[in-house]
This record gives sequence, structure tokens and C-alpha cells, in this order.
Amino acid sequence: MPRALVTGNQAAGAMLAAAGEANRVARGCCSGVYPITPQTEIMESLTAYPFTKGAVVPVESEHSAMGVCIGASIAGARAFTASASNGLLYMTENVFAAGYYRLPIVLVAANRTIGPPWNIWVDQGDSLALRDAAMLQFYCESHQDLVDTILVAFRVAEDPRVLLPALVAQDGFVLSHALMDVDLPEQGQVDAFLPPLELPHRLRRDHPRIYGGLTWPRDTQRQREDIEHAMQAVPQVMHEANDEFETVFGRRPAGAFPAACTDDAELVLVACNTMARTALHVVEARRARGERVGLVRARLFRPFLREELTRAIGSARRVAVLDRNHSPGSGGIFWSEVVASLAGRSDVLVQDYIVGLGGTDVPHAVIDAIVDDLAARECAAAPVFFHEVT
Amino acid sequence: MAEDPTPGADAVVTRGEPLWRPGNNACAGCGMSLGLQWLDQALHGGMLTLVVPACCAVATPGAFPDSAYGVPAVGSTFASSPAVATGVSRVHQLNDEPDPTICWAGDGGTYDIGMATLSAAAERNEDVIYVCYDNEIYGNTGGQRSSATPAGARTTTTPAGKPEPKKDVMAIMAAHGVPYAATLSLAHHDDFMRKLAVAQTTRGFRFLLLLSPCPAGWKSEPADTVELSRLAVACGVFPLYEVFNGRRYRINARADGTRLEDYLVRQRRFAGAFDVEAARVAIKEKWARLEALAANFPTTDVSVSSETGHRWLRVLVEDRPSVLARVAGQVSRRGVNIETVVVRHLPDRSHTYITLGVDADEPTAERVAKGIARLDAVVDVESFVGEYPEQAAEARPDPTSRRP
Repeated sequence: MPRALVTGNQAAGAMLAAAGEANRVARGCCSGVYPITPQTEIMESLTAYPFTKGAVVPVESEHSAMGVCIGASIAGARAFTASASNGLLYMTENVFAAGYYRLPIVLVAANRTIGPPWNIWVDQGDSLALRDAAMLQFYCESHQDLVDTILVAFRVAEDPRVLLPALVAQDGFVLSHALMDVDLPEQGQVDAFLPPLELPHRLRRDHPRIYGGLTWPRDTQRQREDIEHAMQAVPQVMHEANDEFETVFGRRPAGAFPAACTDDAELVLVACNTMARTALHVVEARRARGERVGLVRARLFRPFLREELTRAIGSARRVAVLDRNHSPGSGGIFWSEVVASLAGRSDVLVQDYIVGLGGTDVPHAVIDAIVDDLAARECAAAPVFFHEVT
Repeated sequence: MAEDPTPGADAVVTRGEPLWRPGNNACAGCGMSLGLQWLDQALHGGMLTLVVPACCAVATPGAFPDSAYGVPAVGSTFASSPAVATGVSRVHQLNDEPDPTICWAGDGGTYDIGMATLSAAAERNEDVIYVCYDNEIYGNTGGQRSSATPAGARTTTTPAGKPEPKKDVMAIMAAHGVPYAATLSLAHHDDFMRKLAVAQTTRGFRFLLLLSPCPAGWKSEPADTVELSRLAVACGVFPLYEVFNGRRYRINARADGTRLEDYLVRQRRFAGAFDVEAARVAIKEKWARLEALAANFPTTDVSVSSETGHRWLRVLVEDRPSVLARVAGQVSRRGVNIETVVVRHLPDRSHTYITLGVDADEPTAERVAKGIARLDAVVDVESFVGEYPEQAAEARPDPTSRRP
């Protein structure tokens, strides 16, 4: 497998293109694209890619970008796009539609703060605002994680037991524009890993059906319940996809909640994306000093596997959730999921730390201070806005 | 799961089902519903994919698991039908599937919420037929104003009558330079079928505007739907015309002296303090603009385009159903656009002259002519360059649609 020095956007663009190209033996691929900082390089690379059987349509908005993906996917092609920030919000109506049509469209997000006021730097409030769509959500810590996750996302999304769109998030600029050394799969390997897409409910001229017609209340409730069942199938399907990935590529992608140093940890940090990498350095430094500190990285956010999270946290009695997002009037979005997961565990103190909004830097010192703050707490308080340590 | 029949470049899949089946819950006298049946006739049973945004056309086919549509259909989000149709059409092209992708959207989805999406798909010249069934109102939500509502019409959100005039969506679409744009009336069957034949044999973005009377919103009698369509054309409110490549305008039917009041009086939305004189002035101005745009067609157009290879094919055929579609099919299968179709019946209705303006060079036109000559209903084919044939018939309302 060739090693390559690439940016996050280049890695993501290359993997979307490779996945699309892999479907040349079936109904091809098609993507609607629209630029927005910091994902623009992804859509640019897609428009330049010489697909054997594919079309990339530069449209007039994110709403239409997802609209084109919907039309292409329902016609049986592999479909994908990328967006960020207000672009994701503008796309939202059609993201929900893609989920309810059960279309396995892969959407790469380069996380960026929602405006106004305008801010191009990272926080995860944009993709998390789509949390109630019928869509899988993955969060990536590195370029290699991004490469592997995009391929796994196609495989899981297109599995007949799932058939839902999937979002793969990377931090804007911090990852999207940083150069890292990765194993970049070759087309032959991607072909081997991603079988030709056979959407069971695609439009068929010999079997006319309507998708997105009128539905009565009871059927709508059943349809939503079916989606919940599809979400419940994700852990098993993802496990199988990771097995297959290991066979083809010789390495294993991460699971839902990759953990470090949690076995005997008294205090565990929960974080996602690149912040989890910084947190890992803090944890390793403290371990070297003999402190029983661990890290759980939230990689899979939808479905949110509560039991897996509880297992990953293990016997720790203190949990600090680092939220680079803010749901006004509630707190951090990961925190609310963690609290719900540990609802039966009154012995665990869970504290929410809202950090890094609008791209505010989250250096080691901030995470160190959070560990100290949590260690000194008697009981949990309202979500804390944690600022830079001066 | 049933398998598709092998899709070849020329494979035309016919369907056993009507496009718009019985059992739909469209209101009595719904223009949109009649329009779907006419669309079905115009397609001669050919397969298509419908993309319908959230509107009456997605509310009336019935609820899951039933659907009145006898063709594959996607109910898209309100503003998205041209974008979704883009995806469907592109994938059809990747797989050499010739079925047309047809958007069927109301004036809300066209003039208003979907305008940006529509404009973008037209600018990209996507291979899509877009039909706007224009009932001049948000009908599905119970009759609020849209930008297609004419001045003076009362709606639930303009209880005193709408102060602003109707948006000229045809001018907007013509300004995009789309290959074909045309208006359609439910009282002019021949004209409707001819325009659909042109649309089907043209590639790229095709925009069709169908005046779609809405008894619930217009406060009109359901039985008056066709008559209102006829009157709208006859009194000049709704001109029947077509625009080729955004430049060449052709008027298909002119006002015949019918009084505007005859159209207005059948609709209670115009009751009350409606300013008939102002409406008359607006119609006059609209026609002056349209006549100016159409003044140079066809003579100027033909002399210009004869230099660029514009040709005519005059075909004498037996007068029976679906011959026009088969003739047009011979043109389209060679990738040639039809720019004009004129159909004239001989007085005894035994034979018909079909005159096609085609965008082709001489060898291509000759190949097309040979293909047409092989059709069993064809008596004679003639290919020539020159002046536009003088016998261009103006569209006339179907005499059977007149009220006694």
C-alpha cells in the first residue's frame, strides 16, 4: 500500500473518488458538490477525478448537492458529497430526506463553527446539529482514521441490514489542511473491499413505485421503528466490515469507542476528533507519573452505543466529557449522551467541559487543567465553559 | 426482486399501466390531474421517471402502500425536484437508459421555493423535462398567494386581491437560453401533444408551463376547467407560445376577440373590486412584448440558421395515432434536435403533413429521412433547406372542448 503525505481533504477526496470508481462495474457513481471552507478541496478534487462511470455535478447550493445525491442514489448509483458549517445546515432538509429514503450516501464534514458571526475554525456544532437525522455519524482523529472510516462508512451504510446515509467528520483546518503521512489504499484494494452497490429499492422501470409519497401516521411510526432497527444492526455490521477491512488492507479500523489506559483508570476523559489525540498525550504523560487516568475516544456518535461506552469507561468513577460544541440551555451534546449511558451508575461523577468553541485552541495545558479540576470536584456541576489557561 | 429488461441505447420500455391511474384523490375538475393524463397520452406508453416535489401531485396519488402513479416516482423535498431529477437523469445517462426524467411541479415549487434550484438546473442544461402545472396559488395548503397569482385575484393571504402582477416565469426561463420552453393549455390538445413531441425529441433542459385551473382555489365550477383554459387563451390572458434556445419565439394562438370578462366571471377569485381595465392594459402590454419577440420568427431565424445547416423535413403520413411519435423517434435516435414541428391534416383527414425543423447537416438529415421513409405509415419524405414553410398552422382549441 503506498504511503502518501496528504492533507485531510486530499485523503477524503481520494477515498470518496476511489469508492465511486469502485462502483464502475455496477451503476456508477454520482455526486452533487458545492464549495465551503474548509472542505472545498474535497469537492474540487471530485470534479477533477477521471471517473470511468461517474458524474460530478457542481450545483448552486448544499441543499441541491444533497438533492443530486438523493436522485443519483435512488437511481442506483453510489453517491457522496462533502460540506461544513452553514452548508450542512442548509443541506439539512435533504439529509433528513436521504435517511428517510434509506439511501446509503456518504457525507464528509470538515467541522466548522456555525455562523453568524462568521468564523471558519473548528467546532463540531455543525455535524452534531444533524444528530436527529437518520444518519450514521463517525468522528475521526487522524488522516489514517479518516481514510479507513470513509471506506468502512460506505460498507456499513450500503449493507442491506443498514441502508442509511453516513457522515464522516474531520476537524476543519486542524485535520483538513494538515499534512500527515498515511497508507492510502490503491484502487484494486478498494474494489475488493467495496462490493458493487445493489440498492434493493432503487427506481425500477419494470416495477414502478413511489418513494417519498404520502404516509399515514401508523406507517410513519413503523418506518421510524425500522430505522431504529437498522441503527441497532450497525455494531454487528461494522464488526464484520472491520474484519473484511483487516483481510484486505492488513490493519484494523477502530471501533465505536477506542480506549487507552482505561483498565484501572479512576478518571477517564471522553473526547472526539483531534482533541482526543491531544488528550491522549496528556493521559500518557500522567500515566508516566503514575496517575490512573484513561481516555475514551468517541468515534461513532450515531448510533450511540451506550453499553459499549459504559464498558469502555470501565471502573472509573470520574468522567470528564470534552465537548467542542454547545447546545444552548442544555450543555455539551456528547455529555448528554454520556450521562444517559451512565444513568444507572450513581457512583460515577460525570462533568461536562465545553472547550474549543469557534476553533479556540485546546492545548495540553487546558486538558491538564480539566483533569485537575475534575479530580478536585466533590460532585458534578452544570456544564463548565473552560477557557484557555493563562 | 424482478430484473430490468436489458437496457440498450434504443430500448424503449413500454408499460402496461397508465401513468396516472384511477383511484387518485385529486379534486373534481383538477387541471393537474387532467394534465397528467395528457402527459401519458403524449408519451405513448413510454417509460419515464417522475420527480414530484411536495405538492398536490404528491398528496393526491394516495397514501402508502398505494400510489396512483403507474411509473417510478420520487416525492422530493419542496425545493429539490430539479436537483433530484439531475441525479436521476445523470445516472440514467451513465447507464444508457433513454427514459426521460420529468419534473412535475406546481407554481409554488417552480416560481417560488424552487426557483434557485430550477434556475441552476436550467443553466446547467440538465437533460430533464420540467413541467410546471400552474394553478396560480398554493393549492395544497388551501389557497394562499404565490408569485404566480395574477393581479387582483383574491386568495386567503390576499383577501382584497393581490396587488402585484403575476411573475413572468417563461421570460425567466427563456433568459436561461434553455433549448425549449413552451406554454400548454388544457383546451388545445393538438398543440399540447405537438409540444410534448418537440420536448421529447429535444435534449437538454425543457420547460413547459401548463395553465392548471384549480376549482378549489379559483372558486370555479369543476366542469369549467377546460372551458377556463380555452377562455384564458382566447381572451389573451394566457398566450400559447414556444421559445427555442431562448431566442426564437413563436406564437401558437392569438386572442380571438373573446372578452376578458367571460374568463373572469367564471371565477369568484376575481369577484369584487377587480379592475378589469387595468387587467386589459396589462394584457395588451404583454402581447406587445410577445409580438415584438416573435416578430422575427420564423423568417429571420431560417435565413440565419440555413447558413448553419438548419433543415426541414416534410413527411407525408397516413393519419393515425402515434405516427408523429414514431417519426420523431427516428430523429431523436440519431441525436438530432427537433426545433419545430408543424402538423397539418389534409382536408379529408386521410393523410397528414408533418414538417420538422431539425438542427442537422445534410448527410445527417438524409440519414434521418431514410429512417423515416422506412416507417410503414410514411408515404413520402422530403428534405430541404430554405424558407420556413408557409403552412404553419396556428393552434386552435379542440372544438370538442367547447361548451354547448
